[in-house]
Amino acid sequence: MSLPEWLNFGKWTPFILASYVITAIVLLANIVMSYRSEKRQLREIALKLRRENRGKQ
Amino acid sequence: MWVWFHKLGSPPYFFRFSGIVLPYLAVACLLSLCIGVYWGLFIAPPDYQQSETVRIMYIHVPAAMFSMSIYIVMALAGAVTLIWRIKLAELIAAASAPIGASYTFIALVTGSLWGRTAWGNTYWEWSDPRLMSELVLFFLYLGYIALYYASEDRRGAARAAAVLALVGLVNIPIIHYSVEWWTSLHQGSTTRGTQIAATVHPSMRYPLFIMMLGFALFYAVTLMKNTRSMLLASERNNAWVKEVVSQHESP
Amino acid sequence: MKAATPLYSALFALLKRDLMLAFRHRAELVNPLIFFLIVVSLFPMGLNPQSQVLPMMGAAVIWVAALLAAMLSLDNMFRSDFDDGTLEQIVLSPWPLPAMVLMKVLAHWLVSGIPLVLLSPLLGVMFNLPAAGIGALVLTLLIGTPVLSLVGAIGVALTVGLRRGGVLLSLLVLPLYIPILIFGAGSVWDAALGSSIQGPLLFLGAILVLALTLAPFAIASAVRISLE
Repeated sequence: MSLPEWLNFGKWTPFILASYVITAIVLLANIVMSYRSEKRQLREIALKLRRENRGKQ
Repeated sequence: MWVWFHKLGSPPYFFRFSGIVLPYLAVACLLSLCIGVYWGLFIAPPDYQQSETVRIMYIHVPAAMFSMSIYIVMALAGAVTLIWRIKLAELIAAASAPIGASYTFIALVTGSLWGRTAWGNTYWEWSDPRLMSELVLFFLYLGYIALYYASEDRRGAARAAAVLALVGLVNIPIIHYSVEWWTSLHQGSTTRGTQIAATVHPSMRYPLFIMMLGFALFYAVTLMKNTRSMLLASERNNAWVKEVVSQHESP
Repeated sequence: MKAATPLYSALFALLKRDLMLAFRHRAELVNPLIFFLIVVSLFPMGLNPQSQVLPMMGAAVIWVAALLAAMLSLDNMFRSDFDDGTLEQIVLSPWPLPAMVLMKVLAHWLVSGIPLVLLSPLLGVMFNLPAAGIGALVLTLLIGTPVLSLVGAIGVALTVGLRRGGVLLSLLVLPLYIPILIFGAGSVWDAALGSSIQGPLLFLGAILVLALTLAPFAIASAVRISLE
C-alpha cells in the first residue's frame, strides 16, 4: 500500500504515522468505553426501575 | 472556592455539574486534538537536527507529562480517601487509572519509535533510567487496577489501592529527575513549562501546547465519564440516581 | 492507654515468637532456598560452563532468583497470623502497629533473607564470578534483602485478605523491586569488571533507609485495611 504524497514524511514515515495511529486507537478505545459504560449503567438502572414500578402496580 | 470544592464532593452535585460541563469540554478536547495534530503533522516545520521525526514529540511529550500528573492525582485522591474517606475521591482515583495507564503506554510506544529513529538500531535501552522508571510506572498503574478490582468490597479495595498509589509515588521524582541524576539518552528536560518556552522553537511551541491542552481535556472528559458511570453503579439504590435516570428517560 | 509492658519487651516478645514459629516450620522455610539454588543452577547447566557469558549472566540471574525466592517466602509473614486471628490481636494491642509489623519484617528477613545472602558466594562461584564480584554480590544482597522484605511486606499486607492474592502479590511487588534489582545486579557486574561500586552501594543504602523509615507505616495502614 503506497501512501499519498501528503502523508510522506521522508525516511521515517512509518514510525511517525504509527505513533499517531497507535495513539488515536488507544485514545478512541478509552473514550468509547467510558461513554458506553455510562450509557449502559443508565439503561440498566432504567430497566430495574421500570421493573420495580411494574411490580408495585 | 473551598465551599464549591466541598459541594463537588457530593455525588449528585458532581453528577449534575459534570453533566453541564461535559459537552463543552468534549468539544474543546476534540478541537484542540484535531488542530494540534494537523498543526503538528502538516504545518510545523521539520527540526533542523531530527527532520520530520520531531513530529512524534507532539504526542510523546504531552503523553509522558500527563502519565506522571495523572498518577499524582491518583495518589492525592488516594490520600484523601485514606484520611477523609470521601467516596468521590475513591472513584476519581479508580477512574483515572486506566487513562493514566493508557497515556503511559502511549509515551512508552511513541518514545520507543522516536528513539529508534534518533538513537540508531534499538527500540529500547535497558540501561536508561527514564525508560526504566516509566516502564515501572506502567506496571504500577496495572498493579493498581488489578488490586482495585481484586476484592468485592469497593471501599476497602479503594483504600488498599490508595496505599499502593502512595507507595509508588516515589517513582515520580525518579522519572522526572532521572535525566539530571544519571547520564541518560534523554538529553535535558523539556518537561517544565518555562524550559519549553526557552528551548523549543516558537513554531513548534504552539502545536505542542495545543496538544498538551488536548491531552489534558481528554483526561478531564474521560475521567468525568468514568466517574459518572462508577457513581451510577455504586449509588444505584439512592433517590438521586433514580431521579436522574427518570429524567434521562423522559427529557 | 499506656501499656503495662514496656514497648521494647513487647517488640522483643513478638520477634521471639515469630522466630520460634519459623523454626518449628523450618522445613517450609527451606523450600524457597532450594528453589533459589536449583533455579540459579539451571542457567550454567543450560550454557557451556566454559562460556564467557557465564559471569555476565551470573550477576543478573542470582539477583533475579533472589527476588523470586524472596517473593515466595513473603506469604509466611502475615498469612497464618491472619488466618488464626493473631494479626487482629496485634492490631488491637496497645503498642504502635508500625513498630510491631517492623518486628515481623525483621523476623522474615532473619529467616528468609539472610540465608540467601549466605548462599550467594556459592552461587557466585557456580558462575565463575571473580572474587570482587562475589564480594559485591554478598554486600548488595545484604543491603538489598531487607528492602525486599520491607517492600514485599507492603504487598503482602495489601493482599493477605484476598482469596487469590498470590499472583496479584507478584504484580504489585515486582515493579517496586525493579530499582533494587538494577542497582544490585549492576554493581556486581561493575565490581567484577574492577570499577568502584561506591555510588550504587550508597544508593542501595539510601533506599534501605527510606524503606526502613516509611515502609512500616505503609504496612501498618495496609494491615488495617485488610482486616476490615
